[in-house]
Amino acid sequence: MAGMRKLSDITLFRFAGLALLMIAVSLPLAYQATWHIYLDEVDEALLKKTAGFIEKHCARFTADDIVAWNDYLPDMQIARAMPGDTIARWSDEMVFDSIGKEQEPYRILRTPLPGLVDGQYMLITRSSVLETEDLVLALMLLYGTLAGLLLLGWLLLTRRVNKRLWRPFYDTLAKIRRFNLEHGEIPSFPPTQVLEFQQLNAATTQLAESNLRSWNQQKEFFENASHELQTPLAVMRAQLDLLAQDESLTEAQSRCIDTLTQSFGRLARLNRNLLLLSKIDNGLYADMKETDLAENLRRQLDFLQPLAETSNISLKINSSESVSVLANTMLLDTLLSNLLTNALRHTAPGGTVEVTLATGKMDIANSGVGPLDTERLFRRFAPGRRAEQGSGLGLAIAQRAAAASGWTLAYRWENGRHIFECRF
Amino acid sequence: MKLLLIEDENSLAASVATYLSGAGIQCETAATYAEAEDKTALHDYDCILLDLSLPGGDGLRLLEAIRQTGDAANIIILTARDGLDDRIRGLNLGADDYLTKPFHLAELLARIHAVVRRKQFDGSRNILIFNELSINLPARTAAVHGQPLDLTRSEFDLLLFLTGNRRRVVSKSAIAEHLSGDLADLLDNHDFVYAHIKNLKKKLARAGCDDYIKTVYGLGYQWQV
Repeated sequence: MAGMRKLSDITLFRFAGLALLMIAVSLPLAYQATWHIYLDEVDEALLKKTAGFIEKHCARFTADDIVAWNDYLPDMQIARAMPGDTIARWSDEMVFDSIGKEQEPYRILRTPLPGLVDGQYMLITRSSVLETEDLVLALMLLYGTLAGLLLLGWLLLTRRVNKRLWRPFYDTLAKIRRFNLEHGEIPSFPPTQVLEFQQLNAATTQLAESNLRSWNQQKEFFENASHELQTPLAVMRAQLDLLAQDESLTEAQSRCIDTLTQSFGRLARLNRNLLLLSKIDNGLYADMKETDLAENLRRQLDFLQPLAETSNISLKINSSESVSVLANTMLLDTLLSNLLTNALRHTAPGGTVEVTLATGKMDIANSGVGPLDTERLFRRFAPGRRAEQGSGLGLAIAQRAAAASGWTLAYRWENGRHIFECRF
Repeated sequence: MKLLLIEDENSLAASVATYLSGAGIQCETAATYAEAEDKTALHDYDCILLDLSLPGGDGLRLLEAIRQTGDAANIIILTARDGLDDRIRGLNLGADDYLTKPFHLAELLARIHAVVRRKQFDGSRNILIFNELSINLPARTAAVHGQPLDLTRSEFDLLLFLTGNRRRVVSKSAIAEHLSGDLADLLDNHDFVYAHIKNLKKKLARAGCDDYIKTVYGLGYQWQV
């Protein structure tokens, strides 16, 4: 899931980026603007000062006044006009400040004074812009800080609000994940004020309901079909049984009936197995109780012993202790019988089938020729190594029975043996 | 023995009746709920076979009704539905046994015997005697010339099955299903049944019993006594 982020994080991120960009761009602009506003003010002040001087003092000034004036007023100097200084002139210059002992920036206005003494003088009014500079800087800092704080505050608030806003969505998401056709529960969603989430919930509920309906219909159909089959099967079986009683049957006829009966047996068993699978999947065998696994195994082994003997197969258990498991009797018997008969069926004469019990697991091993295809092993009706008598469902049933009991069933090929391991 | 078969599938009812009469059981039939009600009210039967999917009413209701009249007849439920719930309900409502379709006629007969015997405390009925062979039903033992036989559980079941269906041809398929009980997908092949039969015959012969198990070519086996 690399590269995927929460939606609220993405929008937050984008907006924060934009806001920062805007602050970054506006800060120098604001600086420039403020600077120019202040400069305008400074210029206006200089003009006022100059105009005020010209109006008030220009006419009365004498040459001696000039020296005294310059002494007392460094910021308003009267100096000889240069040739060409015929109109007012603005400039920005660095001037050495005797107090601060360094160069400082000044805004200077030079105005010719035609009405003063002999008309060859100009007024140099100037204003230090250092203070102004510091002030503007301070203002910008303040602006930056305020903007930053605002942004931060907004981010945190939005984060919290988003969390609350999105909660119904995550709730819905969790419920969708938990939805399971087999449990058959339609998720219920609490009402929400957000339109989109409400729509999402409604659509999800509808989807779940229609899925569940179709699932149940299929289950029902499947079970009904199987059950419907039982009656004609029953009629056929009874007829065959009766037919077998006839004493005037020829050999050929007997063989025919035998084949019919055998085939029929497979058919009936197949139907029963399909039903069994569907019942296991429907959770019909849910009651569990403490069972002695070794005991069940011994019972099954006793039962299969004669068959093993005819094929000269050695069939035994490798443990004499009793291993207790929590299991549903029907499921356990089904699991064991399917695994054992499968093992017997696929063992060559003279081979061995061995069951090993330990706490928490059971191994059923039988001698074989080569490893089986694990992919298809547990699939229903998987083509491949299937003995004639098998219905192709044996291992699928075993696996479903194990799963329904909460156990795992796995296959491995080891030392020339097929081993089915069941863990409780 | 008088038996009532409550089954709406005619051909099945006919087959069952034929087979059972061959075993000396007098079989009456009812094809609807109403008919069944009438017959059970009028007569007493040793055994009743009840198909749950009866037209005209729920078979379980009929079962309840029969029990409520105090009728103690042995009742075996026959049904296509193999639900655990149905089974439990049926047994709780007073059925004595439960058999799912399709079933072998031999299996049905064996169940009828079992159910009828269960309620008999008459000692003489509980020991079957076939010449030198005696079978003690409650004890689940058998003896030849008085000497007890060491039979496995399956071998005893097989012996009982064959003798219960004596003089009838019992197919290998029926034997296989009888022995494997509820376990699905068990081996239904010659070898499996043959192995059990062989062992049983061996033990009987070793104890000095005549061979009463005849192999009916191509079909199955028959207890001939």
